[in-house]
Amino acid sequence: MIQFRELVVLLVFTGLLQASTFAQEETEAPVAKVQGDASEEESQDELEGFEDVAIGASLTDGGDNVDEKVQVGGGAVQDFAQLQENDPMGFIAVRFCEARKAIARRVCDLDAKQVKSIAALDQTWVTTEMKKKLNPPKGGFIRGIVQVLKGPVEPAGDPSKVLPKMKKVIESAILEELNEEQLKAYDKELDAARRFQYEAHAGILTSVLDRHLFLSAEQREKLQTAIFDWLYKSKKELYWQFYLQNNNYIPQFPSKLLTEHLTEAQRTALKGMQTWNYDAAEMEWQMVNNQIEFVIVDQ
Amino acid sequence: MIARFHLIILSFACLVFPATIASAQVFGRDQDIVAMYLFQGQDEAGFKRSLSSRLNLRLDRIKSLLELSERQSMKIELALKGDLSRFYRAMERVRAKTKGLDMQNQKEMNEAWQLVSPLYTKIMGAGILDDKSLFVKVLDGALTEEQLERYDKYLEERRKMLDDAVTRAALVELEKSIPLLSDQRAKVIELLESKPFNENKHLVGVQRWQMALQHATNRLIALDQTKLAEILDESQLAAFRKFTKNKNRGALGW
Repeated sequence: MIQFRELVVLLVFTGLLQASTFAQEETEAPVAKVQGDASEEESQDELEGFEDVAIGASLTDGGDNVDEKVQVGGGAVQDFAQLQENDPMGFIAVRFCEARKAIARRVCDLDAKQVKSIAALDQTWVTTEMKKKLNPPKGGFIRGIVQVLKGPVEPAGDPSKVLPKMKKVIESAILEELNEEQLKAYDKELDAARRFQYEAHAGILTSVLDRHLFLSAEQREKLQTAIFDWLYKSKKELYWQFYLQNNNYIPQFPSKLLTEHLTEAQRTALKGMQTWNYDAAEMEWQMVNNQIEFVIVDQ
Repeated sequence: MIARFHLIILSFACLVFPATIASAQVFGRDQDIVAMYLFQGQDEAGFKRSLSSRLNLRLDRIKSLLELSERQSMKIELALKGDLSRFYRAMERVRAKTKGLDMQNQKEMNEAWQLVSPLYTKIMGAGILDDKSLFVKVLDGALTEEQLERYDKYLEERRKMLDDAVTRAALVELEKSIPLLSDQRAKVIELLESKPFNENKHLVGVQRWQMALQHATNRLIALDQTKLAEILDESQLAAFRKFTKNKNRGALGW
């Protein structure tokens, strides 16, 4: 048996080890983590340039193409496309924030103070908050011990973790600005959008099954409802394009869902398929197309 | 003391084990290349079982949907078996040709892929029962006009479900940049559906699936902007116009 004292020593040691790893991660090019796949061969100059865009960028307030320009740090003006190209995660977070703000503006009767506060949730704010999520606060060996007890350390810049967190931060910041009545209207609108989204995704995933299983019309209808319920309740955002493009993949549907709505022969036919849930947050930032102009409403 | 020793051994094993697994996954001349590309991790029996059960599902649906006579069923079943046998024979031919090729040698690997890729495309793409299959030819000849109509209607319903869902999902993607309110969304959908969409009817199999999003995007871009102006506000409309300017807006990048 390991003595309690030995366990404590082991934890303290691993805690110190973890703490030193965190410290090292924070000093070693945090910028590369923002980009996600920046190679070590990239020159420091390129990385520094990227850091400016990712962290210090803000929208200008003048000019004809106000929506396409960003003010960086001390005043250099760059194309908005650069954010899109250099920081796809930041790009998605900014786009999400602007879209949420656009909904709030349209469904809530905002007063002047609220208009100002919501406008302040701009690109600078998003990128600053994002940096906090990418680089957690420094921790000592206690944090290291806690981390050891919690399990494996997640990579700091993992988009599948950072983007959902960022979306929550953005959502809370907007909600904070709204009164009760406005909140109801805003929530109602978002829920309608979510339902529309999950209905569409459920339709695609039913078609994905239908492609292999030749479902009856009744099965299609029931499966679409069941898949919608599964997606809506679990708030699962799958990267549906993947299943459209890859013939041999299906999501990991709950087994009860398949048992209830498919025949035994149909379930057998699915056995050779690859199953994996490709998360939208994991994939969408990789699919940002730099060749396409950034479009956003209300800019 | 012994427990501590076990702990150290365990930690060491955790570090070393992944490397051991990796070194075991070396491809060589003994590799069954057909199995590697086609079977998707199953053994041959499992692969054949799931393939045959998928094809039989199609046959079963046709039987129940069209109330086939015994003679019609027999013809179509025979055609399906013929297509399967043809595929398995092709698989064996490729297996014989690729036997002994070294998968660590780039040239030989390319050679193997040239041989396997038609089979791979058949499995992953349009399927064994594509337009050139005996099954499709016999089906066309064996069904009555009324049965063919019913079958076309069934296929059309499947197509429509996919097209509608992908068009809605494409609108969801557009809304990531230009969010709509519920009543606006309903009107845009109404506008989209008011225009019949037959653009990709000629596409079959995986080709059709891969083009579905591109076509849905085209469908959005082609929306009547005068009518759209009655649905969207000024700022939304301006963003939408900017969105439609880029003709390269394709299947995946938004």
